[in-house]
Amino acid sequence: MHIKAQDLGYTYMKNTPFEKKALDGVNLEIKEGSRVAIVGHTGSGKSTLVQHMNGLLIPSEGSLTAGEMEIRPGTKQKTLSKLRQRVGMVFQFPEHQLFDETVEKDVAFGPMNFGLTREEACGRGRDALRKVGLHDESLYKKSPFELSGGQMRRVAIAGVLASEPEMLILDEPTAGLDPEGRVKMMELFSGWQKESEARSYVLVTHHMEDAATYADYIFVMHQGTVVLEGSPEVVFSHEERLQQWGLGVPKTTKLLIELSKKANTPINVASFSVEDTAKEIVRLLKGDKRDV
Amino acid sequence: MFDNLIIGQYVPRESVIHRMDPRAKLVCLFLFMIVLFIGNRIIALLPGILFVAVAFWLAQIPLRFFAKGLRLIVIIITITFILHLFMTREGNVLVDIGWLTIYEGALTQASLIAVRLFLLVILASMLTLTTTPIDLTDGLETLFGPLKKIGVPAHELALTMSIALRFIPTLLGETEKIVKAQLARGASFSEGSLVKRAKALIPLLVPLLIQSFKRAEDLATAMEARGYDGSSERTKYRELTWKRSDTFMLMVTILTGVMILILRG
Amino acid sequence: MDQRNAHINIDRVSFRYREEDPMVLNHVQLTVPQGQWLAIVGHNGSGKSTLAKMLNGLLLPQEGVVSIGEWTTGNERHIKTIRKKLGMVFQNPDNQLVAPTVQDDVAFALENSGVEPQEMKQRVIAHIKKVGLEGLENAEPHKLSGGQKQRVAIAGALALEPAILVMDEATSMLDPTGREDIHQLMHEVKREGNKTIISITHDLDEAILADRVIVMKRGSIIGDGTPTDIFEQRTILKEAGLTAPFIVQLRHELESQGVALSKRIRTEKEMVDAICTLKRKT
Repeated sequence: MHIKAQDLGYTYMKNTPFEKKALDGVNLEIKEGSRVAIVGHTGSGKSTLVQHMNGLLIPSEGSLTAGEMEIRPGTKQKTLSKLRQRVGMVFQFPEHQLFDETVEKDVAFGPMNFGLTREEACGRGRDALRKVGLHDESLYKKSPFELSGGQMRRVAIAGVLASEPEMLILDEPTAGLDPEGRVKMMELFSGWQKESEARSYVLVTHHMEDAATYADYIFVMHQGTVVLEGSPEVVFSHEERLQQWGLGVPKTTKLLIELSKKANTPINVASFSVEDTAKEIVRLLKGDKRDV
Repeated sequence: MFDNLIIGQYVPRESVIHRMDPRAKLVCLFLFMIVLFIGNRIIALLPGILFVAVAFWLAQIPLRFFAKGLRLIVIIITITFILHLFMTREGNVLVDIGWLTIYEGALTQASLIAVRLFLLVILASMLTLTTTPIDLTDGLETLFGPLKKIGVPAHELALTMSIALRFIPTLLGETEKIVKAQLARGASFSEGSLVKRAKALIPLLVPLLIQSFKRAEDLATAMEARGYDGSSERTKYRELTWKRSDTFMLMVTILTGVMILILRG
Repeated sequence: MDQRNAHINIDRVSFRYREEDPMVLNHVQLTVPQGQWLAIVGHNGSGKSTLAKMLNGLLLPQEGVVSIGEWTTGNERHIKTIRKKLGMVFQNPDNQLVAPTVQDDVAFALENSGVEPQEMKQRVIAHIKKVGLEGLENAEPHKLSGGQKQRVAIAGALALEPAILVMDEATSMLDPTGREDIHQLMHEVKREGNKTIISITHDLDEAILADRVIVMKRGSIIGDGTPTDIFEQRTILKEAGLTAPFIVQLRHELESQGVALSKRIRTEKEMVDAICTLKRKT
């Protein structure tokens, strides 16, 4: 789905002493079928921004276009159900949204809200559960609260995938997971996205490693507006600016930058895997005079 | 989502009223409450009106914000006013158009009640607007302290209140998050019949309850680990200090009360 | 209280939550001398958090004995002393702060142990400063970031001047910046005094900085040694379901590409230095 924000602004608690402008003049465009990351320090407005993409928030100023739908100040919530089916959203700690008696019913909640019959919804739910790696069908009849933390998160994600969205908004989906769990979770979304050309996701994250590995294009937010955008290579070449905004660079890049400074040699610092980083170091040691 | 939930919130300012000892504020409010109901005619309430106006001015609360928060209260007071206007049958007839009869006594009576309620609500909400919840809790705990002797668990009540205050914003945030997560899954909380709407709350209430239990359990563990066992050897971090300005404020309140007493009919 | 005498001794401790459940701790044997920084690593469900709760009597062993110095958790009259000697910070930053403001929360444990108000004021202010939260004394917990909330919790634990600080997955819910902040703070705590630090974690980048690492799996200790030793034993990490720290991964990768570096390298800075030294030689 094509997303375009034009001079988008949003103010929380308007007309109270607690009024706070969260977004101001945001312009961005996300193409269909793309993998995008939005990074920014806590309070930079990144969560507020993505909640406009499925109509959870209505702009205070400007507009947001999602597919053929345009949302402006005054757009009614009721008209947005269709959009919410097409744009799924995985929140931080999604397992907190589980509520139904059984795993199966919980996963079917979304599709049923979007108008499917119980049978259809359960069918889609089962597909989604398998997709997130829960193959053991004896789990489906259990209460979601009997499962382990990791399984609960998978069920919650299946609940979002079951509505068969074209686009996923992933707001810190790996929060609280260990490094292995994080990789597995991100691989799951990556695999989902690759299944169809029209599918895309927007990943909101604090992990620069994830942004570098799982996005082709990155938006950097600071104080409610987009301050930098580009491919990971481009974005992470601005280490000093990122630092000013309270952000870092991937561990691999950081190490290569330090190395470049200390050895007083230019190095291509845009390596985001351990393997590429090692190659870059070997190249330095061999004294390869490669263009950087 | 909770944009209108402003009444009862603390608004930080550096005013004289903000700096008052919470005990002084509570005692003043209590005294004022009593004398308000002793004042039995509008003229007697004039010192009270002046008192509230000055206090409001001193507290530096933005008027627009305050007015917004009071909207509901004003509606309730208006209804009370109208009810009293038609129900009381005292004194000379003022208006008489067919079925509608308004007596002179009704007008004074209704105005009196409306003014009383209005003053009371303003002063009471000013207490919460100018006092941090923790000061309020401490104030209540010390004022009710003597009741410990007759078995009132003043400390436990104060601690419970303080924990509740600590967790209200957290729970509101949690509620908002779950509402959004379910909305994103196509849920609707504002459509259909009453039964349908009540049912729609289940996906919100179940997760909220489960999270709250989890929080309560975690918090109990953390409190235990930090040595809380409810024993009486506990000391207190906050010591309230009664200042000269507090005595002054109390005197002003008493003076207002005396004036109301003198002016009553 | 004698601060030096806070040697931890866990003697053949076993525990399970319910009769029908498998053992969460299985004859665990461990001693930790005063002043050591110990990292306990393991996958979810390996028993590491249960072990932590044994240390201050939040849980009591069904078999075996847990003691700190001359105090044992099994003795009810010792519990209060043990909890003064051992401060604990938990995983969820939202669920462990009790009071509505930062300073009141830091004071909470002090109030419980009956410290005089005058001294309490000083300690609270000093510890808020120590964890770098000056100016936020009156802030409400929900207005703080996750990392800041954990700092409040750490200040609250340190204000009691304990001999032991236990961090029970205290960084696992934080974002990378918050995590980095807390790691730095742990270093400062370590540098300043002779405190024992026990950090329970699944983040091996945190464990690599410790003096000693123990690896747990299904209620048993399957590895015990210096980080350098443990992280070389890839089979142990694999068995425990853990990923090696970034620096170790990189060193292994370099090794496979023909560049051998010292196993002692633990930080990025050491890695950069080692590569530069190597470059000068070639």
